[in-house]
Amino acid sequence: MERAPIGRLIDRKFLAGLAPYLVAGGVYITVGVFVPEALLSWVEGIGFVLLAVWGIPALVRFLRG
Amino acid sequence: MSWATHDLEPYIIQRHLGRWVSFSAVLIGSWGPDVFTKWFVYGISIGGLELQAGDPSDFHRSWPGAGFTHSLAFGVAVAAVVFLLTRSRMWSLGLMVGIWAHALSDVLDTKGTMLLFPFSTMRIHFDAWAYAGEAGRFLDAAAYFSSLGFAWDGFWLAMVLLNWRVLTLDYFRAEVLPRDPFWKLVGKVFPESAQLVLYRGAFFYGTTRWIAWLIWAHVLHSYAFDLSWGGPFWITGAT
Repeated sequence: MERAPIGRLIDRKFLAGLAPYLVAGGVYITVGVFVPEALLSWVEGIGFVLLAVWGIPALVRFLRG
Repeated sequence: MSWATHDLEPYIIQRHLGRWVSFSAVLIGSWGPDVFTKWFVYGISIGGLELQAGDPSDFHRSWPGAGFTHSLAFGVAVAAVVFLLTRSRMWSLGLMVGIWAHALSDVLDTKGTMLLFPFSTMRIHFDAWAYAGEAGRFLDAAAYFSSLGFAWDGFWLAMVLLNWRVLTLDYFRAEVLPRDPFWKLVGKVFPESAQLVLYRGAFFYGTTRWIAWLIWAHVLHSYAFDLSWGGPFWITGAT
C-alpha cells in the first residue's frame, strides 16, 4: 500500500472522521472514571462506540430525511 | 494479567500476519482465555448466590482449574476444532495466534501461565508486575495501572499509533474486508461505515479504558505509582 505523508491526511475530511471518536472517547472516559463498572465489558465498550459514532448519526440522518 | 494489551495486540498481529489470519478471529482469541474465566476469578452474584473460585489465581492460571486456557496447546486445540467445523484456515489460525498472544502476554505477571500444558503444569512467569486478581476487580485495576502493567499496555498503544494506517478506511477496505468472510456476514446487517466502527472498536475500548483507569487510579484515587519490577509495592502479587 502506498504510504501518504501524515500531513496530507490531516485535513478537514480526516478531522471530520476523527471527531466523533474523540467525542465518544471523551464521554466514555468521563463515564468510566466515575462509574468504573462501565470499563469492564468490551461488549458495552464496543456497543457504545458503535452507537455513538454510527448509530446516533445514522438515526439523525434518517429522521432529517 | 494484562488489560488493554489484549484489545490492541490484534491490530499489530493483523498488520504482520493479515494474509494468513482473520483479524476478528485474532481478537476473539485474544479475549477468549479471560472471557470464560475472569467472572469466576472476581466473583459474580446470580440471584443472591455468590459464585467465586476458592483460590482465584490458581483457578485462573493453574491446573486443576482453568489455567489450561492460557496455554499454547489450548490454542492448537481450539484451532483444530474450528478447522474441522469450518475448514477456514484464516479463522483457525487467527484464533490460535490470538490465544497464544494472550498466554504469552500474561507470563509477564507474578502468576504467569502454563504455556507448556499438558506437558508441564509449571507456570512460566517473569514477575514484571503483581497479579492481583484475588483482590477484586477494582484493586486489581488499581495495582495494574500503578505498575509496569500500565507501561506494557502503553507500549501496545504506541505500537498501534505508530502503525496508525491499520485504523484507516483504506486499510480496512484493502487488507481486512476482502480477506475475511466474517465481514460479509456483518455486511448483511451493517453498512461499511458501521463495519469500520466495529473494526476500530477494540482500539477504542482499549485506549479509552487505559486512559480512564489511569485517571481513576491516580486522580480520583491516590494509588501510588511503582514502576519497579514486580510492583506495586503496596499489594502482594499472587505466585
